[in-house]
Amino acid sequence: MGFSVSGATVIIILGLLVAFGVAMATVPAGIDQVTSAQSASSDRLLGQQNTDFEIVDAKWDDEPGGLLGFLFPEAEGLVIVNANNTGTTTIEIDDIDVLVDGTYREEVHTAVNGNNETRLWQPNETIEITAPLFEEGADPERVKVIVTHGISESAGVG
Amino acid sequence: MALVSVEHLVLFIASLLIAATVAGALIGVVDRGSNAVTQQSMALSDSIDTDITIISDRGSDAMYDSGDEQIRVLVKNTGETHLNPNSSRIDVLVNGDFVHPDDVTVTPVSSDGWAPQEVVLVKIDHGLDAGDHRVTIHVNRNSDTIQFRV
Repeated sequence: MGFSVSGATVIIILGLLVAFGVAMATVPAGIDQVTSAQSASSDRLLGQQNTDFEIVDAKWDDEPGGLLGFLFPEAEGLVIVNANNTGTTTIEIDDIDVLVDGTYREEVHTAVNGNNETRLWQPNETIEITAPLFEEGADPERVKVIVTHGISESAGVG
Repeated sequence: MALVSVEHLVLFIASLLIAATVAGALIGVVDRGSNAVTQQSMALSDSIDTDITIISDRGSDAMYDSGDEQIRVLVKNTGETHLNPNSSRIDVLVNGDFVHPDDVTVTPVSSDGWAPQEVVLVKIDHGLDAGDHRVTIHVNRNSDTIQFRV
């Protein structure tokens, strides 16, 4: 009887150890995964709070000349938006979206402080965003610029 | 004497079998629990990493096409996960009413997919009367609502 009890106890203790090992292998990993997602979420929220910009002016140029006229010869005109990065984060140019009268513009040209090759819009820098309109008789009224984290500003086109 | 030994042997084997069954069941239960915890953690971290923002310009007339009776909403992926631009993966409510996925079309406008920072156009075939309306888009336990006037 003594052997039976000891043998059974050993098997149950082994089972408990294996079960504990299985649990300890996955539960901390799951907690770690959720914690790192929450940490990334806090970082996003911080970035959102620190991101800001303001539109200085928005113009409609129906007789574009210079480089922009050369870049978009087929365009009816260009919506040209000047904006300042008034936040403390660097905004990636590829994250900028432009809506003219509520319609998404896929083709957009940008220049930060006159530099049209950079892909970064840093704090205190001014960006010139140019959106060509190809629709005949286009007469845009509003423009909306959206950047990282969905921060947006809109303005009337003068 | 021999009879007693056989009895002991039978009891010994039976106790080992019962102990092994109990231990096996215990490991099975803990394993299933661990798998559930792993899946739930993945779903939870996915949902925390997901974020969407409706970026439509409510000051323009582009949100509702009265000719086609179609609502057009631009949605930006402001989270960190790649989302599926498929109407079956997005839930749309117009004035609180669920819109069937067959009446919803999702088209990427800034690229081919719906990666972070990219935008999709959600077209909703739903007629609206003149007045105030609200559209809510749900993706992966995240949602954003826009109110506008037609």
